[in-house]
Amino acid sequence: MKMARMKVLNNRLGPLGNLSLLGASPQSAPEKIAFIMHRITGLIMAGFIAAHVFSTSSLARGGWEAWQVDVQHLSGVNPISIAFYIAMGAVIFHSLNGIRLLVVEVFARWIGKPEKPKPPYVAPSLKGFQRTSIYIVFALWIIAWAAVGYVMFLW
Amino acid sequence: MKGYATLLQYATAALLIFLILWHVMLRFPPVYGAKDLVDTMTPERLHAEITGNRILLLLLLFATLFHGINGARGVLIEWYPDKRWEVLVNVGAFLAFVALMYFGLLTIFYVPPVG
Repeated sequence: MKMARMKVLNNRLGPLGNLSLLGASPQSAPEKIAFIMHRITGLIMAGFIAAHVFSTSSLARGGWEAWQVDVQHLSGVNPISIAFYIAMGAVIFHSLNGIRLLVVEVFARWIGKPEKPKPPYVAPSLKGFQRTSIYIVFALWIIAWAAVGYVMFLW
Repeated sequence: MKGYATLLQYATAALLIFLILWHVMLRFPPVYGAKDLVDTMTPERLHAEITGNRILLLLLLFATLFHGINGARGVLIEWYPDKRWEVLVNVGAFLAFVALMYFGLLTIFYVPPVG
């Protein structure tokens, strides 16, 4: 019993445990890829929100002059505007995939109904519109992120 | 307690879909007839935007901070299942929430007048 418990405790993979799932192919396990992407974009956004809330408060801390200096960093292509663009990509993916998760997990839609497990068995939740919705999320993400890039850098 | 946190995580997620869409759309140049992204953030436009939408911004601040910090907290705790690590992450999450709330409230309620 003690040995079995030790084995469980030694299975703590840490952050790399998530990345190991990236080996899954898009055809066989898009859910896993969406799961990893949701986590990565979530963590990017957590950092972005902290930076955004703090930097926006510059107008209350240092007046409008400080604010205008900060805002000029978003003009043109520079490290800050590129970081902002990456954060926007994270926001868009996390939002679109979040809508899918709300529909599937909270409202239990798009995941099909339970059926008798006849071989070769594929769970209803891993096929049908639930899986198609992941491809839609990725397609919309690319289109929306490109549109944001146009507004940020080419407008 | 954990059940309520999960429920609030989903509720804030649903709320944020609309609030972030509104927040991002305000940076779309045609909304103000602005010439580019930076031009949508002039002091005059931003002052009117903040003072005219304090309730929505408060809601956005709370929902974003709760959803973001609680989500990051969950991921970090899951990475290393350890009681001391969990306590450390919980305390860090609480402090981050309080500190960022302070800066957010500062922006919403102490926006200086323009000119």
